[in-house]
Amino acid sequence: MPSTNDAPLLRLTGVTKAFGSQTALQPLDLSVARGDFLALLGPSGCGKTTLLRIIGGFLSPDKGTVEIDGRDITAIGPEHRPINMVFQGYGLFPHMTVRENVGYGLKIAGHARDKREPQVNAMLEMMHIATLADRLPGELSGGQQQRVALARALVMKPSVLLLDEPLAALDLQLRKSMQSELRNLHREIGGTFICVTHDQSEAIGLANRIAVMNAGRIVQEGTPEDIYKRPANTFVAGFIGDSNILPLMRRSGVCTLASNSIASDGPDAQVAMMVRPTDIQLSEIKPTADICVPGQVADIVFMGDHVKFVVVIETGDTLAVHRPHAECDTGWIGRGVPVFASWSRNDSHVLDRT
Amino acid sequence: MTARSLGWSIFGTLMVAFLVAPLVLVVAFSFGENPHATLPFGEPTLKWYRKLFAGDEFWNALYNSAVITLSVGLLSAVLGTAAAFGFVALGKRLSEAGVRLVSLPVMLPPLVLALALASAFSATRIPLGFGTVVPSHLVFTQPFVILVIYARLAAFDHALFDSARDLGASRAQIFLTITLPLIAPSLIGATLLAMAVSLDDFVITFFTIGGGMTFSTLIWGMLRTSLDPSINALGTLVLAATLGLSIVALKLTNYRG
Ligand SMILES: Nc1ncnc2c1ncn2[C@@H]1O[C@H](COP(=O)(O)OP(=O)(O)O)[C@@H](O)[C@H]1O
Ligand SMILES: [Mg+2]
Repeated sequence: MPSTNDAPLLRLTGVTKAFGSQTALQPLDLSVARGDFLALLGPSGCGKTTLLRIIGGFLSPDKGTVEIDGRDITAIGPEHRPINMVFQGYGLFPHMTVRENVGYGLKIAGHARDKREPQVNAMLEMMHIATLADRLPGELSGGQQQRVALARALVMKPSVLLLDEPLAALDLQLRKSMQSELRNLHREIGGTFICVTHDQSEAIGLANRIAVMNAGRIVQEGTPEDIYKRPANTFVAGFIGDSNILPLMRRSGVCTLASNSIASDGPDAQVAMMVRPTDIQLSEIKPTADICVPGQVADIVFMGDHVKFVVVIETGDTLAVHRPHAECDTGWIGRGVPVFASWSRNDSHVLDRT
Repeated sequence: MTARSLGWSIFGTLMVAFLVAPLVLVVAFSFGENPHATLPFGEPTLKWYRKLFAGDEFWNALYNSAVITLSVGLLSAVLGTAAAFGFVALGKRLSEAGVRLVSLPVMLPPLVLALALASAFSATRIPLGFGTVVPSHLVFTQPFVILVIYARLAAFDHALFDSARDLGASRAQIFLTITLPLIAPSLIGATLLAMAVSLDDFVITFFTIGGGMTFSTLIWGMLRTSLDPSINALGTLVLAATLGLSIVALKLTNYRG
């Protein structure tokens, strides 16, 4: 079947998986477009690896189908899927040199040495590991091993590259530089990447689409900006970036927070207002603002590039407020001082509680 | 050096001397002129080796020992590896119980094991010979291979096999290109150890071979008829073979302690 450009490259429909009595994936749909860099983001144990292994073919779903380019591959094993995976811990073959590791897939596919050597060499160059070609994996650093694992998968020119927590084993410095390198790599080769991570900053830094998972479900999917600015519920809001989540009741389309009445469409329910710490102002005298709550500064923490104020508001809730240093220097504000915390309706979201 | 550590050093040296002295004597007498294997050694000579090699008994025993040791080695390697794979596939709880069970024969007194085997063969009217010695040896040599290979397989990072599969390898290709090369040193080591133990065994061989002589039963036979140092010469040869196999084996399996 010829694939049009807007048909998804990879499509999962109604996929479920249970291990014994434990449900790892609830019925789940997912579409990935050609050229996407999708991050599967969620807390540990939410089913990310299970989902990735189903896509790779290492696990078969209890129900549902996996299609690639419109072709049902649910029953096809990983050795026959046009998909390659970089495993958590890399799984490099310890008895083979870097060159042999990278050439393994082509050798298994029956390419003669003189045919595969140029491809292997090009890939070693691209991953900046040409000088390590004759070393064994045991003689490489963590970052170098990861490059080998990436090269070994990419040399197969997979339709989809799967990465399971690719940066988790690296130290902070290396993680940052590998993050931008992965991004560049994705742009350069124009492939489709799916990456599992539990680190929201990694997901935002790497991917152009994020699927947030919780307890075996995809709870929201969209661009990093969508998910940051318009979280679908309190779980997503709490998981992506810093946020304040204030529990509210919605009655007849109105939520009440201290003396503010906030219009919000929807049925009567327990909801929550989410507002980012950077979107809150603090003032000495009552400002004119959409939403304004009196409170008291409980703590002031120097955070490097900003100052974090901890404010206990009238409702008893605690707000984190991030402000530039300059505001701290004006003198009026200090620990124990009464303040007004205010923000605009546009910067806050009324969310379903999860 | 403190007095205390000096004391321990002397004690250690004495212990080693006590353990090694009989072996040294066996070897030394085999090269001495004295026909009673007593002190003094007498002039150095190879005549006991010449005497040993002149008889048919030696060559028969060599043939039998070679057939038994090599068969036991080969079969231990193949069956032990297959068993180790089977145990790994059983999952942790079952496999640990299973590995403990197959190791039991190694801990049994050899005499009890020998009696059990001999009565089993006689009860089932299986004629004694190579066909009974070799399986009997397997009962206590195979556990070495199973234990070593099982430990090696259980320690493998499963991502290795997943990666190979991901890169297109079939089960057979994974075995040949990943598993086998990685277990090869351990496997050769464990096999040599099994062969050393087989070559060394007297009790079980004696009870299950029927007629025929191996090196170990030949030594026993010679002890009853003659006491000249050609026994020492044979003993020295067996010692060299066993030590050689064991040293290579321990090197390959990285045995420590
Ligand atoms: N092979 C397995 N056997 C039993 N339970 C499993 C297995 N793999 C995963 N699980 C369970 O399924 C859930 C999801 O696991 P996983 O996909 O590894 O989560 P994540 O990668 O998001 O941390 C977890 O509760 C985990 O305990
Ligand atoms: Mg995981």
